[in-house]
Amino acid sequence: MTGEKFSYEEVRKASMIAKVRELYHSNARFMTLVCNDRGDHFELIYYFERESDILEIRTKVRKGEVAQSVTPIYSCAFLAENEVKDGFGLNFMDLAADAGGVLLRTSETETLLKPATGVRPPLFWTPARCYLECPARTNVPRYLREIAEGKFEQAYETILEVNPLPAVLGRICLAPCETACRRAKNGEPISIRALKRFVADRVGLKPRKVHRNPLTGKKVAIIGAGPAGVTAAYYLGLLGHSVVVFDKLPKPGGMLFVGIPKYRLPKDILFAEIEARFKEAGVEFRPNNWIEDLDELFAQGFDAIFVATGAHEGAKLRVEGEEHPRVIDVLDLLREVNLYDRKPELGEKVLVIGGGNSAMDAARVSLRLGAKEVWIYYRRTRNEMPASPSEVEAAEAEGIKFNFLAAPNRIMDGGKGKVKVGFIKTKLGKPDAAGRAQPEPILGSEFIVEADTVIKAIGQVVTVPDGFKLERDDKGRIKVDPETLQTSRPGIFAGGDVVLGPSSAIESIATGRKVASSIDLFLGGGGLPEPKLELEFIWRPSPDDVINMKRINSPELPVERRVSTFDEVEQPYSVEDAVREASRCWKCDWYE
Amino acid sequence: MSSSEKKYTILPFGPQHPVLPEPIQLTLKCDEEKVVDVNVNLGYVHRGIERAGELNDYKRNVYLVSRVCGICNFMHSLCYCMAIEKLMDLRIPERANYLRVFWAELNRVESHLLWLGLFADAMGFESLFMQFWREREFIMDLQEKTGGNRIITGTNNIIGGVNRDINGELVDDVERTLTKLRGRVKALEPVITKDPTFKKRTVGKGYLPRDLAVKLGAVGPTARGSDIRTDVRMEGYAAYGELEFEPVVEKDGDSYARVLVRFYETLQSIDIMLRVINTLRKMENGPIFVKPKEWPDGETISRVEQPRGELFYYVKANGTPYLERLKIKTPTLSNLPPLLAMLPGSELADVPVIVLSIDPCIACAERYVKIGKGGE
Repeated sequence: MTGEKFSYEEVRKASMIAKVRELYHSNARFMTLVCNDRGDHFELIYYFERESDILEIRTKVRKGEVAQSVTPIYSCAFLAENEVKDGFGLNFMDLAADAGGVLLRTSETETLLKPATGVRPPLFWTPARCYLECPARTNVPRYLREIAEGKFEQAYETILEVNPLPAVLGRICLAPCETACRRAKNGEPISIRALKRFVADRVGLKPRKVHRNPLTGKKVAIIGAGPAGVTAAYYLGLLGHSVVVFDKLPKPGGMLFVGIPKYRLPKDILFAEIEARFKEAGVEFRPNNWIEDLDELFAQGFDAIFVATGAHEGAKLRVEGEEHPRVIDVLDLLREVNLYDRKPELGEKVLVIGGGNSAMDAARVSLRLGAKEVWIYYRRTRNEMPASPSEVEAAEAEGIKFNFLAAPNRIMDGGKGKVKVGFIKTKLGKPDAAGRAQPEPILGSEFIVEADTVIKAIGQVVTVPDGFKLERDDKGRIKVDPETLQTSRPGIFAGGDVVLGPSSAIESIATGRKVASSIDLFLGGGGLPEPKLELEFIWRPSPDDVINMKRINSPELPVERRVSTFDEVEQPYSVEDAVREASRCWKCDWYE
Repeated sequence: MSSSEKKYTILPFGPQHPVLPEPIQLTLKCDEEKVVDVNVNLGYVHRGIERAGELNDYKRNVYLVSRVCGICNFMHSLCYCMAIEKLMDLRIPERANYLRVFWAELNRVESHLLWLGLFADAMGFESLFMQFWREREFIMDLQEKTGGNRIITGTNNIIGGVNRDINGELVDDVERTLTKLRGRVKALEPVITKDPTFKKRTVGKGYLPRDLAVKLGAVGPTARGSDIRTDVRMEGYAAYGELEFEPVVEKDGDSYARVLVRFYETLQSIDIMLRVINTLRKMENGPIFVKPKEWPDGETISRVEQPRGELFYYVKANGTPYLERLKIKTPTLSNLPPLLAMLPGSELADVPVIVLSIDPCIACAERYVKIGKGGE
C-alpha cells in the first residue's frame, strides 16, 4: 500500500502488556489479532493503527501456556481474543468474556447469557468433598476453575476470603482436601496445595488494595501472632477494629516461624505475607512482648482479647533418664535453627523418636546439620504414622531410615558425649478411641541403641500462664464455648492450638476466622459474612475429557542439593502445568 | 437473588428478529422500557471461510472471498488480490487500478442505498425504503452491464488486475445512468434532513462519543459519525491516490449522524465514479492485467475501506500455491464493541434503529466467536 508506514516489533510475552499500554496512551486503535499455529507454539500478532501507521506486535505463546489478554487495556479486543480462544484453544489470562465492566455501565456479577454449546447453567450447588474437608472451608473448586481459566488474581481473592496466608499454607498445609478429592480414588488427587502456592507466588506478597470498613473505635488485643492470631487480626482489621497483636518472639508467625524448618517454608515469605496482611488490615504488631496479665490489657483500653498463644512446650517421654543433655526436643532444635540461626552440633548418629510431621522435620533438619545417619523410631507401623505420606516419602528419599514397632523405655549415658537408649519391641493391639491400634510391649525384647543425639518429637503440650485466670481442662487447654469460642471470662476469646491442642495450621486459621466473627458480634458488629456462593457458568467436562490426564507433581530440588542446604525443597509449577493440573478438576460442586 | 433487589427483564434480541437480516443475538437486560445492559452472542452462521482459504489454491481464493459478503464482494476480492500482489511485488496497470476503484465505489453505493432502505424500514418508513431500493436498481443494472452480474462482480478481480474493461459505448451509458442516479438520490435528501419523524427516531439515539469510539476501535461510517476523520481510502490504494476527496465526517455521534455520513458518502461515491469514467474515457485502451510469475511467498496484510469500514486481510504464503493462513477481519467485528456501548441507556423501541445504525453484516464477521461469561 502506498503512503502507509509499517512498523514491526517482536516482544516477549512478559513485556507485551506494557507495550500495549504504551500504545493505548498514544491513542492507537486496536485493529485485530491474528493467530498462527506454528507447531510447538502459537504466534500472536496484534495490529494497531496510530494515525496512518500500522503497528504490529508479535508474541509467541507455547502450546498449553496461557497468553496475556489485552482486554484490560483494549476492552474491544474481547471479540478477537475470544475468536482465537475458540478457534485455537488458546487460553488468555484476564480475558473478558464480554465487554463487562469497561463498556457496560451497569454490568453485574450475574451473567445474561445462555452459554453456547457444552455449557449449561448449573441448577443447584452441593458442597464438594474438598470444601467439606477443609477446616477453613476454602472454596476449592472455584479457585481451581479460576486457575484453569487463567484468572490467577481472582483465584487468589477466592482463597483470601477465608485464608489470609495462601503462600504459607500453599507450602505447609496438610491438605485434607487432597485426601478427600474424588480423584484420590485412583491415587491421583488434584495437587490443590501446590496450586494454591502457585497462585500465591504468581500474585505476589505485596499488600493488595482492599476494602476496609470505617473505623469502629473498638480496640482488640491479640496475644500470639501465629496462624490463628494473624487470621483473627486480619479479618477484625478489615471489619474496622483497631487491632494490636502481641508476640513474645521478635518476628510474627508463631509455630510457623519456630516450628517449621526453612526448607519447607522460607521465613522471608512467611514474614512478608503476614506483613502484607497486617498492612492491608491496619494491624499494629508489637513483638518481644510477653503478656502475663490480661487485666492489664483491659486497663490499657482494649475492648476484647483473643488468646492464641499456641502449644510451644514439647511433651515428655516419661521414661527414666530423660533429662540427659543429649536428649533434646524437636521444638528446641527448630527454635535454635529458625530463631537464632544457629547450627547445633548433633554428632554423626541421630535418633528421632516419634512418627508425626515434626519427627520428619527433626530427621530432615538433622541431615542438613551434618548428621551422617538418622533413624526414626516409632512405636506403631508405617500405616499408623500421623505424618503426611509425602513427607515420609521425602524423608526416605533423603536417606532417612525407619525402625517401626519400638518404644523407648530408658535412657542412659553412653560416655564420651554419647547417649544410649533402651527400646522395647512392640506389637499392635486393640484400637483406641480414635481408631488407632495401641502398641503393646513384648516382654523381654529390649535392645539398646547408641547415638550422639536423641530428638524427641512426640507432640506438644499447652501451657497457659496462670496470670490469665482462665478455666482449663485436664490437658491444660483453655475451655471455651464451642459456638463463640469465648472463655470463662467475658470479652476474652481463645483459639488455635491453645484450645485445640497441637493441630494443623489450617485448623488454627479456621478458628481464627471464627473468633474474628464472634469478637465482632461481641463488639456490636454483624460478624463476618459467609463467603458468597455465586452462580457460575462453568464448563463441565465429561469424565472422558479429563480422566486420562495424569497428576503433575510439582518439581523438587535434587536430593544431593537438599540434604546439604536449607533451600526450599518444593519448587513452584510453571503456568502451563498449573493450568493443566487445575483443569483436571471434576468440579463436583455445581450440578444440573 | 433476594426479593428486595430490582427485577430486570432479560430479553433476547435475535438470533431471529424482524429487523435483523442475519442471525446475531443481543441479550438485553431491561429495567421496564430502558435497556441497562447488553451482551452479544455470535456464532450462528460460521462458515469456515478462513480454513477453506487454506485448502483452495491462491487463484481460486478470489472466487471464495468474493462470497464472504454479497454486497461488498468486490472489496473482498480486491483486498485479497492486493495482498497477494504485494507478496509478488506486481505493478498493476493504471487502467486496472481505475477500474477497480469504479467497481469498488459501485459496491459502496449499492451497499449504502440498500442500508438506507433497510434503515428506513426498521423505523417503519416503508415508502422511503421503497424509494431507496428503487434507486438501487440502477446500480444493479450497471453492475450487470459492466461486471456481468447483478451482485457478484468481485470475480472481475484477478491476481494482477481485472479481467473486464469498460470502454466504447458502455462509458457513455454508465455516465448517463450515474448522472441520472445522482439527481434521483439528491432528490431524497430533504426527506433525511427535514422530515421530523425521521429525525425523531434518530437524533440523539445510540450516542457514541468520540473518545469512546477511538477506544473501542470503531471503523468506517460509525467512526466518521463520531467526528473521527478516518478512511482507509486516504492511504491511496488502487487509484485512490490520484482521486482527491475528503472523508465525510459528522460531529454528533448519534444514529442521525451515521445516516448523514452514509447518505453523503453515496453522493460522493457517485462523483468519484463519474471522475473515474472520465479518466477512463481519456485514457488509451491498454493492458488491464499483468501475469503473476511465481507462487506467493511471505506474509503481509492489506486493508480496504469497505462500505462499513476497514476490511483487513492477513495472508501468509509459503511458496506453494496453497496459503498457510488467511485471516479476514471485517468491519462489523470492529463495530460490535461500540454497538454494545451505545445500547445501554436507550429505550427498548430504539434498539432496532441503533443496531442497524452500525450496518451490521453478521455473516461476514463470523469467524469462530462464541462468547460467554466466564470464558467457557
